[in-house]
Amino acid sequence: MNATLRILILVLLKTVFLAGMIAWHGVVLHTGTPVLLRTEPLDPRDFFRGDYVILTYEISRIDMNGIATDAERFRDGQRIYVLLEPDAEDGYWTARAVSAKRGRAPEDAVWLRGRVTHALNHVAREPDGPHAPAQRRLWVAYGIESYFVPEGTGRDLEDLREQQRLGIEVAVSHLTGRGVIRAVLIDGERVYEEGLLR
Amino acid sequence: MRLPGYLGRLKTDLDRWIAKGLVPAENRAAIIADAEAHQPQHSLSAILVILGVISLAAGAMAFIAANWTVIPKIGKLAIMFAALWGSFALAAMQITRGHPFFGHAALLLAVLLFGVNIMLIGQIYHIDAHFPDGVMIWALGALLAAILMNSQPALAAAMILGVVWTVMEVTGGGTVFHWVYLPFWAVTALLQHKQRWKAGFHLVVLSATVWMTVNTATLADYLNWGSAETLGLLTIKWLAIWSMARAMGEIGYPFATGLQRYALAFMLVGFFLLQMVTPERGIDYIWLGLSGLSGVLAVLLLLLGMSGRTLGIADLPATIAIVIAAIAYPFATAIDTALLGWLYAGLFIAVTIWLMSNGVRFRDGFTVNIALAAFGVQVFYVYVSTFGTLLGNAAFFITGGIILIALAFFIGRLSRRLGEERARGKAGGAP
Repeated sequence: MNATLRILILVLLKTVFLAGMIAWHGVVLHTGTPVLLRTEPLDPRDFFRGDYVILTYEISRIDMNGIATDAERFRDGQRIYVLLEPDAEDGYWTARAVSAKRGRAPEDAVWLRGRVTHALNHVAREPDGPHAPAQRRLWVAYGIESYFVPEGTGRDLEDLREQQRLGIEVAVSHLTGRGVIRAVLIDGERVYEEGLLR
Repeated sequence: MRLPGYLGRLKTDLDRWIAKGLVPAENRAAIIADAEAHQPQHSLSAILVILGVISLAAGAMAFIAANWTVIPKIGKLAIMFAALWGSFALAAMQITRGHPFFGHAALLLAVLLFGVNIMLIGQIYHIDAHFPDGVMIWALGALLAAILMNSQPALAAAMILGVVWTVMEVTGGGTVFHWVYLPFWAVTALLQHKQRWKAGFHLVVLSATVWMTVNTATLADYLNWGSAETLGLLTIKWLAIWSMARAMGEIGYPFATGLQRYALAFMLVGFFLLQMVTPERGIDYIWLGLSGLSGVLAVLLLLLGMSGRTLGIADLPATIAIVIAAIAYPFATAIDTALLGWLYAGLFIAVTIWLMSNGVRFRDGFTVNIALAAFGVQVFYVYVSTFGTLLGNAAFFITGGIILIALAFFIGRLSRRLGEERARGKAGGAP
């Protein structure tokens, strides 16, 4: 096999991989279930870092009390699925269940894939002990925590966020539960909409 | 690898060999001309080209960071793929036209651009995926290029990216023991061995060192081991690798000496640092199992690597003593700290003396030198941590002086014995 042929194989394999990344994103973007998530910045000063926005959602920190689950405990780094359902009042989706496996979602609900970044599994041994049951929480990353913005526009968005509500519309794959950002909404209005090639 | 002073040394050696009649004087000019002709031609060009390639890749990354908005996504993707294909095309062109050096530089650019493109697609589509996975794909791409093109720059990139991947995976949380890296590392080591690439050997050893250290530390954190357990286990592992390198040398592995030296240096560092931490806990069976297994391996490999002919009288006891000391140290909570310090210092000094004798026996200057350095550091450590009064200092210097003189006498005897053995060997017609 000569050098040119070997390089062609490399070009083909790498191109297929990169094109696959794009194509798979496109499939989820266009066929995924649209889910509206409320953002919850922990520290406004850190909200915009450089030219991308760090997004923290309500569902990024899940208080396990009142949440259905099929697992005793979760560990850091574990892949999980969070069942989301829309709130009848404002249309934002909230977590209803957490599972290590992706089951069949009820109608008007969707399983969103995530990874546990930190699990607090403490269960109280004494009624008033330091490890109360309320401390059973999960911190979860869904791969939709970064939103790249045009250079210099971060501050404008931050000001808008201060005045109005910031929401993110996510498309969730029916096949894998993976979520991709589809639109950024300020006070219910779409300010950025994502296309595959534009 | 020829160093800048190589030609100078060769000329000096040649003159000596000619004077002794070992080399005919008329061959001198031809030997020098041949050596000059085989000097690396591209040493400076290589550095400049590699720096240029890294600079180009860094420029591409900065281009991403700028997140320019004038160009639509399709334009960005077109630029991205054009850059990747262009660098591959350049590589193919240079290699087929008989310029492998520039061809491999272009290939390295393509390898780096592949990673830049992964990040770019991540940026365009706001993908905030598990970052080490992206680095893993990048490293695999580099490895594939190294395999298909037999490329040393691509292999170096693969090894460095592999280390970044495993460190990120382990330190990022969630992974206790990143065994998935091992097959990747094994392939890089095989490629390096196949290419007989000396600089690559250092990368192979250093990447394994980083992997082993980071994973042992994470495992220690997960299983709640103390510093003494972590250092003890690392020391025994390096001792086992040292023994393994001896065995590999016996079967003709060309980089056995280098591996042996790395292992010895890291083993001594671990063994030295062990005495600086306080033993603080009881028996942990997992740790005991791992340490015991590594210790048994160290002894077995020593026996395998040093056949009856080369196995010195102190080699086996010294190896066993290090293993036992490293295993026992974390559990020595009942022993008085000062007494433990003295016992340990004595053992460490005994180990350095054994290594000196070992180095003299195998005519290995590195082992002798590193053992001498370790001896000096240990003596200094004992001085700093134990003595403070003038009387104490006096006792220290007198004791130290006696030990040093005894050591010199011991090494002198060893050297004489070695010289006599060699003389007997020559007289008996042995090689």
